[in-house]
Amino acid sequence: MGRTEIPPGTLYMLILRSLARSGPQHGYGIAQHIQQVTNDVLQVEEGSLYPALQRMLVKGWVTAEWSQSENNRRARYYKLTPAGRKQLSVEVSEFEKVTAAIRKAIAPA
Amino acid sequence: MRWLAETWRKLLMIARRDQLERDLEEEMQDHVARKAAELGDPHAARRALGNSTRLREESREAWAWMWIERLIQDLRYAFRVLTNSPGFTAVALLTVALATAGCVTVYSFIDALFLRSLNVEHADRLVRMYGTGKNSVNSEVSYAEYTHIRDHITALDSVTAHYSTAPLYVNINGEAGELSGAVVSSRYFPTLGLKPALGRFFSPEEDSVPDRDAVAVIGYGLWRSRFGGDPAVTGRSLRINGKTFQVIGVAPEDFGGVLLGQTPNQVWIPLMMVRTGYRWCDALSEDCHLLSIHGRLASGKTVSEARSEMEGLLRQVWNPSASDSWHIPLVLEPATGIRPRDQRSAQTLARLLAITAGMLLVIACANLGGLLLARGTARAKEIAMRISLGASRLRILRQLLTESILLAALGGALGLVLSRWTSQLLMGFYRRDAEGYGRFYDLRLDPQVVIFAAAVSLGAGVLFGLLPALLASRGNTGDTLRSSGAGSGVRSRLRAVLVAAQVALSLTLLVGAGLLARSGSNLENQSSFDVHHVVAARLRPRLMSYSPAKAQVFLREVVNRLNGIGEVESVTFTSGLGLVWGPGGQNTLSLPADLPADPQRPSRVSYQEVAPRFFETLRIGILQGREFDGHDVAGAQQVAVVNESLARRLWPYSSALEKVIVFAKRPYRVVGVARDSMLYSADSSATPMVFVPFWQDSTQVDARMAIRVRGDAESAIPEIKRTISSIDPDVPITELMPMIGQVRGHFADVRLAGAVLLSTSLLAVLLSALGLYGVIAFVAARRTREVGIRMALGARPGEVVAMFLKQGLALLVVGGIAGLVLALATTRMLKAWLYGISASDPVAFSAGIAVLGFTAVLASWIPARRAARIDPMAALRSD
Repeated sequence: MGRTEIPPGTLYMLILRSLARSGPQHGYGIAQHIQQVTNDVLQVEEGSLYPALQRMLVKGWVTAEWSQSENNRRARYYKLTPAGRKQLSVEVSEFEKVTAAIRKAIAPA
Repeated sequence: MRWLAETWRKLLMIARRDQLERDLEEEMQDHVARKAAELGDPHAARRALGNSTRLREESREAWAWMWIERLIQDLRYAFRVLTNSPGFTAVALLTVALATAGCVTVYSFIDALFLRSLNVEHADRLVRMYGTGKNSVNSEVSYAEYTHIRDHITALDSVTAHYSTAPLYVNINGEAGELSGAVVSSRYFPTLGLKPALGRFFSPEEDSVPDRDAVAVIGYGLWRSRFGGDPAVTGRSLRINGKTFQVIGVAPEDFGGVLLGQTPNQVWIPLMMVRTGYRWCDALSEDCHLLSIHGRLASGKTVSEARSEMEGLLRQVWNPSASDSWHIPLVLEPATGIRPRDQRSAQTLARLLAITAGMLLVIACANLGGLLLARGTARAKEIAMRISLGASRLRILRQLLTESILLAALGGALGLVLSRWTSQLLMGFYRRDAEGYGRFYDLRLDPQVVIFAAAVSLGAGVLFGLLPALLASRGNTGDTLRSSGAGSGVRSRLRAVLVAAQVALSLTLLVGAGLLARSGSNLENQSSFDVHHVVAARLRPRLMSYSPAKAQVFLREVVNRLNGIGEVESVTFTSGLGLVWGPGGQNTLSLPADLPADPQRPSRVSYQEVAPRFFETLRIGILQGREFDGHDVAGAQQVAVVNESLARRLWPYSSALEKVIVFAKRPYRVVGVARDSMLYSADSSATPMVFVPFWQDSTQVDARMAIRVRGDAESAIPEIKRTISSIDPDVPITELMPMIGQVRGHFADVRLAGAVLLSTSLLAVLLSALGLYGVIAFVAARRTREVGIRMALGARPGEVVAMFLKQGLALLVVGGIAGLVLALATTRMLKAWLYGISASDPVAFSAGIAVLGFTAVLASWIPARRAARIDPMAALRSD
């Protein structure tokens, strides 16, 4: 089954939403989560999560911490900050504005 | 705020760089491991993650601050480039450093003299008032004027009067000496907002009855040095001008009075004790104008409001019959910098110093620009190579700019260090003035000065790094790579212009230095008087309350005993300030026979009361008649000696001898005509002067002595001091020094300006020579092949040398002519310091041209000769 590349610029939003919904998560968990909730329609290139997460660390939207994971392995958990939560709502409303506009533009006359 | 937090996080990340790398590595491995567990295929898991190198690179970019990384890279590269050519780097660094040091020194001089406020609370609200009377002494306000202002002014919250320049003769535990002191009103310390380090300050009660409360506040330094820091110093006593005072308090450590630049005050006494501190006129009387006023602006009031209110108040009480100096318009200004009276003369000096430093800066910049241009040429190939390998022009530009900024920053830092030394050199000229006192300008390195240094050096670096960098990053890379690497014509033309400009400025500076050097030597060695082998001393029996009769007996004894010393050739003295270089006092002068145009206003003339042998001792020529002798005493016929200027003015067509003048409303018979002895500068003219016998004035008490000795003046001083002290050990002897020292001290500004101009001009010549050398060497290198061909065709080495020498000479002539024009236009500024020569003195001009010409010819001849020495075959084969 062919999967669709995520629209450009929405990676941050997907990561933020994923962290907001499931709480602190490691990178692998975030990738899994995105694929699950979108029923495998959206494909995240798994590796590109990591540079994105680094940029989000710099922007202060997430923090990272090492801790024990479910199967007793060490994993780096990313956690949403208040600034990240705010950013999420900004991104979501931006996205909705854009999709609404696009929907209008392609609606049959 | 957001970006600030982000910057902070980035800085943290840069610091934890290795940790971040490890974290990323580990979590990516963890990711792959989990994926592999899920898929059961480690290879597929790795493929799913993607190109891990690229991911790491992208992540790094997120952490790092690209421009900082690049900057560090650029700096590292620039540093390597600079250390690779130590010769270039040394010259460029030194150029920037010297220019920065010059500018910083001048800036801190100006800062110390004009911009500094007193170190007191709310110094910005402190104002001062000074009289604008023509006389330097006794031209401030009288006690009555002060109290009227104090009691009525509303624009000032607090008003205080002081007389601050009194040297007090202080005796502490039997150890006597001169100290700088001030006579101050009781509001003085409160107005300044000071708290005593120990004890207390004056109460209003102690400042209410004349001569009653002999109490003193001492300076912190005096307390430490002469009272051993005694915590119980209040209650101890000291003698001031022969009167016992009780110490009541110690001033704060960093306070030395309100006169910036002067010897710091060490003792303060109440205004009501002013008669102890000052004895020339009764400071509490109406006709003694001694006091300066400081005040604190009331809130909401401005300086100009305070000024006009004070003018109104002064008009109410001004008594024209008691004062020949009129204050209005008066000087009322924020208490910043040295006294307005001292500012006037210092301004001329500061302006000259600023212009000189500015010229040095321009020369240094031109030199730096030339150096960088030359390097740009030499590196043209390297740069073309980098551009064709894909470096952007912006990147190259930034790289070259980084280099020049690094140079500028290092040079600037070096210059800042150097400026401490040059500041000390500058202050060396103020160690001893004509009266033996030093100036205390605090040329410290405050933040402002450091910022100024940074601005100067970085400004020079950026400005003169930018142009060569632009030129270097421009142009066709292919052409450059193919060519012999000689560089563009624009560059060499630009370098020629820069060198010509340096030559022009150097010549101007050289001429100025020559003028001041001639002037300085004229001051010490001229024909109108001779103070070599003369010792000066000021005897001040007035401070010890000697009566005139007692003082005159004392003075006669001093002359007798000094004449008894074998070393002493002759002894004389005068009453006034500035034995030979300044007019003593001024008084009225008219002729009895003629009718002056306005009999109410007789012309005023400078005069000096002199003892017998004055003209002989100072080697001032008597042109006609005689000088005073032992017969010219009180009671005998009043006689006068006039100088030639006065004689010419009064009797242009006949001899002055036996004529009668009315001086100070009394008739005098002229018995002699002396040469003009007072020195005058190119912007003034000889001063007409009258000399009258000291011994015919029975009110005289103090004297300034001139003692001519056979040997060295300095070594005769101890014997002279012993001899005078043996008559009365209590009489203060001050200004005891070789008289040449007084002349040097009095003309410190001329010597300072001369030394500054001389060192700057020599530096400028050196820099210009380097620049010229560089240009000729460069041209010669570029034309190596042509020289080879010419020589192969039979040109003699001499012809080749001449070919390049001509280019150097062309620059010299162009720059020289511009410099001459500039010099002729600017040396007028020096007029006030030119003694015995005019501003267009041909000797100074030709000396400047000669020095510059010789250096320039040498600087072009060396590379020209080297060019002519090459082997034609080698030259043809080169490249």
